[in-house]
Amino acid sequence: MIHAVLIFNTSGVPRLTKFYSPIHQSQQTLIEKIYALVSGRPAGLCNFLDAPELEAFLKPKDGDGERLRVVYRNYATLYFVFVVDSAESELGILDLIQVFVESLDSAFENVCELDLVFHFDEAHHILAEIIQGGLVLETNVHEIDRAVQDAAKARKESFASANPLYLGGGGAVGSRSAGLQTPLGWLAGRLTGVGAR
Amino acid sequence: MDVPFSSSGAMSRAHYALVRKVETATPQAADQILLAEVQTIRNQLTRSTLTLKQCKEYLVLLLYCSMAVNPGVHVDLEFALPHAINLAEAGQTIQDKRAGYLFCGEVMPAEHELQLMLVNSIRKDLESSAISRICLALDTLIQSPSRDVIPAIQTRLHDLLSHNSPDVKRRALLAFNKLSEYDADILHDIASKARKRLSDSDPSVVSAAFTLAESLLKGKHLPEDKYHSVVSGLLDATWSQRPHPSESRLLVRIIEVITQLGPSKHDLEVIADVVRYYAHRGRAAYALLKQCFRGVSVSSTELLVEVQASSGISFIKEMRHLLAVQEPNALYMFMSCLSSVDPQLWAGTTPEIPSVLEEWEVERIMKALDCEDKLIRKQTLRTLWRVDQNIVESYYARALQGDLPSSSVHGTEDHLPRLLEIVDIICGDDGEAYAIQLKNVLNAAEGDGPLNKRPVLQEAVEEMLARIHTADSIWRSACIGVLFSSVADKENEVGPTLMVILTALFCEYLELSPLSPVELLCGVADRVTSYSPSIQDACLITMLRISAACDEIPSQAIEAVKSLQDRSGRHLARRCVQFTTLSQSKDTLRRVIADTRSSSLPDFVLALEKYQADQPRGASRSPSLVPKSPPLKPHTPEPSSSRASPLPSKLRYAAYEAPRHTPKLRRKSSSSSRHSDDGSSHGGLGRSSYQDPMTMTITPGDLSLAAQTSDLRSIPSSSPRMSRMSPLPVVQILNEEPPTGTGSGAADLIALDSPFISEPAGPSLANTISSIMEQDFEATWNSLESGAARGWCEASIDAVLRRLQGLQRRLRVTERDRPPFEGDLKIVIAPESADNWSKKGLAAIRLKESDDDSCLWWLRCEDDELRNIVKATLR
Repeated sequence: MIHAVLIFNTSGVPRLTKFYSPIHQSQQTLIEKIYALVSGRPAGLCNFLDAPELEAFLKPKDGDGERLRVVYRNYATLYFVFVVDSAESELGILDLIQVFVESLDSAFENVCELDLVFHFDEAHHILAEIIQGGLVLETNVHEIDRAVQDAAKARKESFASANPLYLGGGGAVGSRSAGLQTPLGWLAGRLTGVGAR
Repeated sequence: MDVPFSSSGAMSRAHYALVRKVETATPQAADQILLAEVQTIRNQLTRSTLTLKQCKEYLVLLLYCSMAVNPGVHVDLEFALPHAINLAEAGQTIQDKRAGYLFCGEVMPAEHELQLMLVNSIRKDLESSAISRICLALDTLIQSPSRDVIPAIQTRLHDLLSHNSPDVKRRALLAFNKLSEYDADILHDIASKARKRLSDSDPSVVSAAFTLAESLLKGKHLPEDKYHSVVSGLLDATWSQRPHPSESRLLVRIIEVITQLGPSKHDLEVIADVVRYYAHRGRAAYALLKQCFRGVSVSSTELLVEVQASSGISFIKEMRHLLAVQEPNALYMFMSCLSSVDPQLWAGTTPEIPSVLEEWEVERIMKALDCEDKLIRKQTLRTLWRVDQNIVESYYARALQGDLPSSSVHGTEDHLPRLLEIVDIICGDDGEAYAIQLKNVLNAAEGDGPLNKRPVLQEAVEEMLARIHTADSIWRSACIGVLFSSVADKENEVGPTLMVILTALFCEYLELSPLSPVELLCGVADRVTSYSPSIQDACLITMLRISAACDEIPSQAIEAVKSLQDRSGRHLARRCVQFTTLSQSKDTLRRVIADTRSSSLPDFVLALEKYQADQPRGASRSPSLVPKSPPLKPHTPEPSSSRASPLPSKLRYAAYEAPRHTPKLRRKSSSSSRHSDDGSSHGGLGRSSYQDPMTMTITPGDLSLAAQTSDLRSIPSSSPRMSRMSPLPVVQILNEEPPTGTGSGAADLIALDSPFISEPAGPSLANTISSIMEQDFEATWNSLESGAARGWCEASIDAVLRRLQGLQRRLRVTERDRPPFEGDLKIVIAPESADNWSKKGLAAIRLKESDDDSCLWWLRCEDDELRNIVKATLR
């Protein structure tokens, strides 16, 4: 089962949080903990890690001893993190993260962190087409996109596609965010195997 | 954030302004902004002119606020639930409804009383003809299922199983699955319909049907053999289409179900074909391959031998090429495949099946032992252990001698965690062996200097405690048995790291000890002198904890503590005194232990601290008792707050200083104050101040305070609150800082200028009284930690005070310029009865004024009824 889906940026600021199991302690503390686990990992490590320490936060009350594992991917300024138990295949979840990112991208066109900041309700909706109650509902990006559009009938334009000439950078950037407008570049990652980790 | 509003995509200018402010602020300022925004929205939501559009916007903003706050700040959004329910019910567009349902899903806890209010909305949406509305209602059912909703929607849900839209069908299947957790009987009539969905044309519906089938199997609504044959049929059919790796999700799901059911020989043959077909199809096929090997890992070796022979496919041989891929995920993938298959089938351990790996491949696997990635290292160790235990044992022996090739990044400092990883694999389920090896590892890692000079290996402490906490009970008691015994054995050297581990374990698992508490106590007492002071501190605390379980404290322990006391600095000497006093007073000690939040060492320290703070002044002169030794940090749930260490006496001088920022004050309060230094330099005079005749000067203050706040019956010295008041060292204050009439003394008078205090009685008395109030407030505040709330009130502090006054309860007010929490108005609502131990009717409130005539309030009250009353008053 998937226990949590989190998106936070490279400074640890959450952009989307969704929990499928009751959480026993503060949500922010959990995110901080996961951020510490993930952000400190050098390149060259795989995208999964065992995280028994998270059981204090997310372990189901009846505790059947299923070990929690964190599966994550880093796209541009964002970390996409899934917390799953041993019933899920970590490599399957890695693919699911890619599905999620592609779905966001097709909803927002060239999605960037800023889109999630201003449309996190929409991001929740897209996630709800992929995962329900901690179980995978759909993995076909086209189907997800169709369902999202059918339901919303209102497609948001992303910052990047509405501002094709925007060059990014410059200006005062807050401590919480850097590179809000950087597209996630999942496609490059998919084609060449670099970029997203 | 340099994005203009027009291109930001914000819902409104307010949304844009908020995000912009928050994104450019420091974390603390961001929290303030977010809390203020929540409060503003709270007020906006009460307006009668609120439109649904505004309501939606506010709810989304509230969710943003609660997500964006920093750790330690809690935003309670329950006040907006009625609006969310209303929006879900009355929303005109699907987006409006979605926002309402989303808010409910995120904020409403399971079994919340307002769940019932959603039932009707869900029912109506389910009966709608619009697919998106049905889906939305089904999403809500899956997200927040409840028993109450079942009768209202069961029939409709049954019909939806055969709806035309796959979006609806798959959700209906999952909804049944979720609701069956509440009422298993609802699965009775749907078995045949659910079976039909297994052959649906839409893969996602089939996938959802598998989930429901699992519940049907459990409830015996579906015969397993029949189900297995259906799934096997599906496997054949799906495999025959040879889907592209990126579209193989259904195949993965089918193999997952087969794995749960236990693959038959035929299934395994198909799985072998799948492995051969997809092994070279790149990363997109990893998930599928991984699932195949999960299927293999649950199968018996005999069956696999047969399948390999009949199909001519060797599972591992097909995956060998991954070893050449320079990518950590590929290496992980390969190692997890290796660990799924019995070494017999690939390692050449039996003459019948030769090794499938070439020499360079074996070398590559051995190199993975020194891989940077912990998960890969552990998997490699586990696999090699299964192949040949000697390989791992000789690797361990080398590692113990420090001959471990370091991974490229970390250098040598990661030796210890790696040693522990190896121990974990070597010892497997044997807790005793683990404990023995742990001692060896620590000896090797600490070196052989004198005990008080050796380092405490924090990583080992953390790792070991985490291991013990997550272990099963058999492993735990075996491990603890060996570790505890090592203390009692005098010949055995116990290094500082092990001692720190032991101090934590003694507190938590004393009842698992194979030795008597007396033996443990003597063991620790004998050794305590040889460590560095921070470990001695931890030892003394744990000795105190053990002594609670001893019928009699052995003289050996008392002697050891006494001799330590003579040789130690002030902090430790006080700790020794604490041990001597409390270990003799069993009842007090048991009360302290009963007061701990958990059995962990830090919580015990906190409870001791609290006890100490509640003690009469003489005993509470010691500085903060929170141990400063770093090893204790990892198991402290939160950084110990100085609020937990109130020291009633030390704020005497602070009252005369210019107002300071609260955190600074609190920091000061946890360290030793000038005052407590005085106390200790007089060598135990603290206690004798009880008898100091000058303390009698306080009596008028006592009386006047008592006259306003409680009846005279509460004055007797046996009353804890009063006994706290009586030993105030008024003399020193009068001597050192005589009031100057119009100066600070007069300012202090203002402190008493409140409607609740009858009459100021002169500067020194005023100080005295306010001091009582201070410590009274701080002690009350700290004692009520479990019932905390906070919020904004749209009224000035004065108005709030008048409202509270209107409650007709006894109030004690401490003015803003008085510590603790300078800048806040502090109010204690005192109980009617004179029973000072009871927390019924007791509340502590802090009010902070803001610029716009509103105020921020914090409330602590463990009496639910009173809390609700006060909260309502403050709203």
